[in-house]
Amino acid sequence: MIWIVDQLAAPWQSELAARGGLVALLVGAPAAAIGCWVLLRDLPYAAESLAHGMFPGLVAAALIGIPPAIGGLVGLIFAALLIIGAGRIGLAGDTAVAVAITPLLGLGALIALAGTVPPGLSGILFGDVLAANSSDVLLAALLAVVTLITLRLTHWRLLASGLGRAGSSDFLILLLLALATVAAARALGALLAVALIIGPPVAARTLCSRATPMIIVAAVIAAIAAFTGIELSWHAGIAAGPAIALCAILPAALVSIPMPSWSHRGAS
Amino acid sequence: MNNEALVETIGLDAGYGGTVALSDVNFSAAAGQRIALLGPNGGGKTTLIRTLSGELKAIEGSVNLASETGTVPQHDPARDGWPATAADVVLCGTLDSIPWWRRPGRRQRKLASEALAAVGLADHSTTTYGELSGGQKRRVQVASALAGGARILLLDEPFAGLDAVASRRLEDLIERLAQNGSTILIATHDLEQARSWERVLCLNGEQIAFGEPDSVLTRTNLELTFGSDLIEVPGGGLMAPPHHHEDHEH
Repeated sequence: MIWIVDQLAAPWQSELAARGGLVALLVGAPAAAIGCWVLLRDLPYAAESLAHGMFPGLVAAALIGIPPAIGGLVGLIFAALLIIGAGRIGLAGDTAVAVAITPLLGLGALIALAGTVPPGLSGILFGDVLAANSSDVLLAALLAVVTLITLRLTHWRLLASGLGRAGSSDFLILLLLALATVAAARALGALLAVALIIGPPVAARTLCSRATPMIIVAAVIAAIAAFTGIELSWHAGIAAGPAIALCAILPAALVSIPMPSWSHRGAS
Repeated sequence: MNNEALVETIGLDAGYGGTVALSDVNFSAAAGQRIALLGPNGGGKTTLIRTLSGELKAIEGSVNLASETGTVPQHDPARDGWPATAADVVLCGTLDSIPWWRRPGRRQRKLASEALAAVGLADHSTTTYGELSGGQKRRVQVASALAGGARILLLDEPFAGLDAVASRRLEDLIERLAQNGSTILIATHDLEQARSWERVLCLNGEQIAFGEPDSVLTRTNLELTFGSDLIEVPGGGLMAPPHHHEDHEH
């Protein structure tokens, strides 16, 4: 028993792992909370696209040497303008998103591979949460507070929007999603950030029939994923970002497994 | 505006994008009256309801309302599987009365609870909205309108798709609300139902007739309202063409 506790405590004695876990927790819980509304409003494709759309911004930030959050945010604004532009020339909905985002992913790769000094492509794509510093913790905490306060204040309007009792709240959701994506990209990178945003809500949706419990359960799952991801990374010797992403998605996979119905055994 | 009237339209032209779909509507309805909106599909019933609710702007003429309106639309606007209970749906009806940054408080919860009890669904407050039957959903939507302080209720084909028992319950509720002073406009295709209410407004792209059922539900008016779609029934009676709807719910 003591051996197990020692093993579980081991990663948290390392400052890098402890700080990484804290960032993953501060980023994951709000991302999962906003992810609940993303899922309910059928916007997971937008979530994935936003994460991919900021890729060139992250690469440029790494090359120039500015904070990745700023690069990611600029990338997202650029992606949003492209999507609006694609919509203006007559492409609708998901088509406009696909047409705008796919070239951005390619552009990011081109910039990354053309540089004489590679900007750490794997960190940008898959995150480098163990490299988080104290300003990353501060930024994650700030975004967490802003997101959670906004969600609390607008909860009933968001709920009413799905009942036809209020206007569409998609703009607010996408705005919060953009913040969550920028924050999550530091921990999980542009490709895996969506795991924290969508994975926990998918599991919570299966377990809860009301919005508030769903949001709480999703945030708790994301927090557990941050903890178990760091543990997995430490003990299995794998990268922390993908480990957290795996732990964030795993509950969704588990609750989706159909259970055998023993009550009908033997019935003809 | 007539002192007793809760709803009044004067020379109202209504429609979409500047194109008139319903013209020259003049009627008024007092507290406690049930007004049947009769007309063929596309005759302007929904257009009138959406204009009275403020969703559409009048193209010409005026709409005078002495109270908040509450609408129960023809098609349930709730998204499938939305994670809300019956009480949540009713509480959402109170949101227009509070600033956007405020959450519903004790007063709003009390209003919602009373409204749910008024429609006979107090026992279902914690039931997920999606698990309610079609008739129960309509009653929850009525409760949501009541919780928002509406005394003018606009019900667009509320009986469509309901079985006889659910229809009877909804009809009883409408009668009770009228007795308590609400004005209720109900789009319907049922002439017998319309005959039992206080006023009838016939529409077919324009106002055909308005008044008490006996004076409005004449063969001439019904032929002008429904045209060749009007159905003769054995015994010399008339029947409006049925509403096109899906499977029955209860």
